[in-house]
Amino acid sequence: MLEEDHADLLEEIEELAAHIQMEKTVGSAKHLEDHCRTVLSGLCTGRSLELQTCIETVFLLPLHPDLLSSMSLYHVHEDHALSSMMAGLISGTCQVDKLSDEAVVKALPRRSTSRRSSLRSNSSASRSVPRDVATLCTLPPNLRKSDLQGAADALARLEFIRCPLEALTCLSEAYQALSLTVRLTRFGKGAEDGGSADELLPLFIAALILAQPQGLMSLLHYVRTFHLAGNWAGQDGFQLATLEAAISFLMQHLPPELMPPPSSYHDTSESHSLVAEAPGMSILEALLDEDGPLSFGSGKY
Amino acid sequence: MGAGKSSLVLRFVKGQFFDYQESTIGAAFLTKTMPEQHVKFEIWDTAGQERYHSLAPMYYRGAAAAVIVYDITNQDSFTKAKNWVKELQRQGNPNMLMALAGNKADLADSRAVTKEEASAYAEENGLAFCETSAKTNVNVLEVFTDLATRLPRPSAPQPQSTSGITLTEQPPASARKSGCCS
Repeated sequence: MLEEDHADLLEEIEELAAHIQMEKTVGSAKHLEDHCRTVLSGLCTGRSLELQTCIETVFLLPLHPDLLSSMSLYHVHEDHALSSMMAGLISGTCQVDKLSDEAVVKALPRRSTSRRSSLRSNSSASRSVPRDVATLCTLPPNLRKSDLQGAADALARLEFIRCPLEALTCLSEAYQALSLTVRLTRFGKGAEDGGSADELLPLFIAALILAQPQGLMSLLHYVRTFHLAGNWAGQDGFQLATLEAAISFLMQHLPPELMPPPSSYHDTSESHSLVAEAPGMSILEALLDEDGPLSFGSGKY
Repeated sequence: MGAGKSSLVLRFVKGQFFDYQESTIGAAFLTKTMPEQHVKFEIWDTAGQERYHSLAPMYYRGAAAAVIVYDITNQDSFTKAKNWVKELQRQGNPNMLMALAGNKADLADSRAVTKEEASAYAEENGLAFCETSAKTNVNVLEVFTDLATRLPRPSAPQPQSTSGITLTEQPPASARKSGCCS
């Protein structure tokens, strides 16, 4: 694409983003929908996937807080259960199969900033994987003393993302850090095998527990629903499938005390696909749904 | 000791065995383009441990093809491979192409699964079959080349497909058994 095209395009996107911001509060929803459809269809025809991702991101930035908070309302029980379980595992006050109400209360998630400060300041504790976590994840023996700080830091940032693309960036950074960890372990011990899923999935789950990002289930569904430009057959899809697998694994091992009410648990392992289904809600539909919690109609939500 | 699925994929993608990996995420996700077949493989590795078995559908759902790897020196590994085949037949993409690879063919002296037994099973279940060695690079390329040639070609440009070794969304006309190494 020519440079002038780039400049024109960026200008159009910026104008559109500003327009969305303005219309979201004062304008007509129908007018906004028509406008977005026209501009999007013009912009995206024949353009790259990356460009679509950029446009999507520009659209979602102003909408993100509303969208994610709506998701959070829907997944509040699952999010709470996951946060409590991870906090309990890290605090060492409880084991997965022995979590009591008292332990759960003690282990309730603290605010993430203090949690991450604690992770960073207490480096000797945070660098290696706690025994309960290693047992839960069945980490291979040679990886039990792995330094997961880099991956945990990247995953902790999931809590503060502003668009789906940023979530995928966090996942990518975490995976790269884990891969590096495996390589270092391999070289250090003279082992020959590489970073396969047998090693990376348990490490990913352990790093996720160390990171303790809140609102995991909401985040998963948010990215799944609103990252329409993702390459779901490629690395994006693989990384999000790994996050989904990790969340599903944790949900499967929730202690009874933390189990969400059956009506609120939405098992991702059976009917819902991260990658194969059309999203239940388009960005434009989301744009039209303004101040209150979003309604998800009769789709998969 | 694993069946060697990651080694098999690494051998295919990078032509190496037990070597340093440049991939950002190890051998868990790798891509390889086969220009002659006009096919790009996007290969998702799944964790093989029993503890993570229930998570596998998240990885193979929507995949256009699957390679099930067992170790010819380990009968239990072959049994597990057969269970994977059953699961994929039951829960996977109905149009998924499957190949059965008996890896570690370089250890034929310690063989626990005969080639005839595995071949017969593959034929019964409509799978491509061959014995491979990631270590000595025997039949590795053949497994993937066979899959690539059997994958249907879209008649028109298709939207970005879904997951796994996903190359097309068109139902395959050639979802049939194939002896890739025979």
